[in-house]
Amino acid sequence: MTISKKLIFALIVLLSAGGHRAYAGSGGSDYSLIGIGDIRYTPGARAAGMGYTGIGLASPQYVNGLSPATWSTINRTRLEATVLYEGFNSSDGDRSRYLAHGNFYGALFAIPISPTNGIVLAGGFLPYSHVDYDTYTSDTFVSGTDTLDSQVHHVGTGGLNKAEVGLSWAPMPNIAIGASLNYLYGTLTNSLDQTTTTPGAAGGTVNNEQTMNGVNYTVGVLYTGLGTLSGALSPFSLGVVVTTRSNLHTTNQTNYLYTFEVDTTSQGVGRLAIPFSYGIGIGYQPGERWALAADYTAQPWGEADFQGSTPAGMIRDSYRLGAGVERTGARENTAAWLDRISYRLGFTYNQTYYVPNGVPINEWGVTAGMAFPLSGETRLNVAAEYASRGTTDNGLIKEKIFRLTLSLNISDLWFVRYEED
Amino acid sequence: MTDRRITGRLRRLAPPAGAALRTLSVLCALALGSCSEDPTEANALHANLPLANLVVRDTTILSRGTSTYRRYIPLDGRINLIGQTGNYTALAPIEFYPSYFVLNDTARVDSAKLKLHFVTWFGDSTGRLAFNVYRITRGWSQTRLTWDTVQAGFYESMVRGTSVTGAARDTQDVFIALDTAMVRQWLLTPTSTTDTKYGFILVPSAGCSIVRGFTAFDSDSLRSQPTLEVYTRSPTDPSRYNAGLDTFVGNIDNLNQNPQLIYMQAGVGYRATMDFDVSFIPRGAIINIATLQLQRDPSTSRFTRFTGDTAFSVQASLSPSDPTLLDGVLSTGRRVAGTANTFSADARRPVQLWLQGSNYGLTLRSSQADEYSSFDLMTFFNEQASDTLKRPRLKIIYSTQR
Repeated sequence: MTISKKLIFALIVLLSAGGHRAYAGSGGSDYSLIGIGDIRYTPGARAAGMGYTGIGLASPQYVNGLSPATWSTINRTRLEATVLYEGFNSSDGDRSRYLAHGNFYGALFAIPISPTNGIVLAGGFLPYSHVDYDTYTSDTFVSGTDTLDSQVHHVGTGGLNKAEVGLSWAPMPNIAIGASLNYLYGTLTNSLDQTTTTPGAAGGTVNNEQTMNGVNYTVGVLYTGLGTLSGALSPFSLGVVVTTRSNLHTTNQTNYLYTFEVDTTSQGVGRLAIPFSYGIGIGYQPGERWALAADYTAQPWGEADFQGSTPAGMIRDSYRLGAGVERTGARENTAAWLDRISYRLGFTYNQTYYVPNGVPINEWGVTAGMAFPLSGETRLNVAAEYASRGTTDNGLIKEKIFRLTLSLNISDLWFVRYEED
Repeated sequence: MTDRRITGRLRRLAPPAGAALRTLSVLCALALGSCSEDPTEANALHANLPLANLVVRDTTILSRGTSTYRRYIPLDGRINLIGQTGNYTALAPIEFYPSYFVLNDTARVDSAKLKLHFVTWFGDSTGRLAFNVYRITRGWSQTRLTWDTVQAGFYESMVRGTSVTGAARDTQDVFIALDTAMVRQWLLTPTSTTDTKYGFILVPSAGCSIVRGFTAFDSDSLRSQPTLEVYTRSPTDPSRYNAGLDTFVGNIDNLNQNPQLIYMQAGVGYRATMDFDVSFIPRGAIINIATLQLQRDPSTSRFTRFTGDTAFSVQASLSPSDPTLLDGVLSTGRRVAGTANTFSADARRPVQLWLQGSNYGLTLRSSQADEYSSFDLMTFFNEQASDTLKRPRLKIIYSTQR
């Protein structure tokens, strides 16, 4: 099978699998019960190894999920598919446990339409949020005549996905712009399973399923002409990206499972507004082998609208800072294999939008990554992150997080006209 | 690209690099796959997170309305009643399957005896059980026959047999001589629509002062089943038959006289309905406990020494107009241990059904074993009881989302 056939096949698989997210594993973070769960920041394995940076850093070898403007340098048809392993070592101060899951973490393709003009069509599927909590509470009800001991098993699953398609264009040599249309969709499921040990008493299960969908837009700009101001600035590039607010249409349905029968409420509709977000990034590429980047992104979650209100005291404005460096692998096939590997390091700080009971949950992490050349332009990217967030103070949870991102980046020449043609 | 292809490419890399990658892959797989736990209650974290939890509440409500109604029901129990005592009357139709008879158009029936195995009695044990046998004139079904369907022309007026016994012993075989002409007709090849093989009915006669119960065809013991013995001067005499249809129909008029009581009369079809207002409980609530509490009136309840269990059945009514339309799941009400007359029954399912919008109340009836095979009567105080502590009440513990 030629690379082209592989790419076509991979694209078909990508498009047909876009509606599905395969979950496997034992669980995730209990914080994900807040809002719409853990917000995913899915730039690709390269940026993940560099502290989740890349708004101001373009590369012809990678489909950057952070800004559509960065696609303008892509000169070969590319497809990058990613999987994520995420493990949470969580503690409440008394008990701890390690839960983990593996997910399909999205795929992006890019097809250069006119490389000389930076016109690249790109799209794909990415996760947007992730809910995966599993916890228990217990209660003893005592009245004047009766007692009821009960336990409730709380489980939440699901999340939002983002299907995006967009174009980049470089109207001038130093400026590239890009825009994408993003369709957000997904289902959040929360269930309460009550059991009781009191003789003669029964429990039941309440399953709430909230399905949502909506659209937003992302616009990005990449400027690489700082060298016109000063020669010392020529390795620098500057990127800005803005994603509009998205109003999601939601449908809500609750199923009740009792000992003897089942009940289902009629479907209710509502809305959920995800606030706009913006980011700015700086790239620094002093040569072909080195790249440095720093990003800042923010999202004012205080302006979110969950069915007409913002969960006061539960969410807040969020932002993320990141910085990273990459030593790019040698392109020559004659180079030593270890020299052909790209090496990445990074640091990230995330003020999450979680603020349970008024306590802010912040996350920091260190990242590292490598890109292994397989054949030609094909790369196997690995990024590992160790992060920590939360606190055991105020009855909350401290989490040590291990994330491992793997992506396969394959490419082919489509629509590219050679000079001899 | 498949894993196999990727692995193949890794193998084709420079030996040290390929080995390093393969080692890395194996280490990653081991590290990631081995240390994840399953979330359990034992390792669950106790965090102060904004979970959508449940709130448990309890309430006790009084019935807002009760009634007693009579609806004649098909009985078809394991014991059939025959006789009369006080205002109670029971008739028992029996049909031996015609297809089981050995047809013989020239047979001469010298005698035919019906054997019934009596096992219970109701009324005065010193009383007299007297009944006649009449030939049934039309086809019938033990699962549909009721008191009101045996009244008009169901049987002939000519007596085909007579029995007079007492209740000297609880268990007793009684033989009744049947009209040989009637039995001979059962052995004939059918040639006329006037030849009936629909069996006969036992009807209490004058002087009857007791009701007795005999075991039905579906008794486990062959010896206890109704048996027809026919003598036809054959070397194989007597021919015995013990398969067929049987049931009984019973009645008592004007039973529910006390406005402070509800009545559950077995063997006839008196049942009670009871209504509770649970509209204050939100839909979706989990009914953890729902206990119906009733006070029996011992002075009007009637049981016999053969009453196996002073229990009753509780079902949700499913129709505002048809009282026989009941939920298929029933619970059993029983006497509360340590009390003489306090009964309780699990009512979780009815209450859970009511929360979905249609609350047609409860139907209370004698337990199935009794209702189809006895004249037991249970009476309970209703919402008009002068002693408020004796009024029906429903205690509910439920959980709702906070």
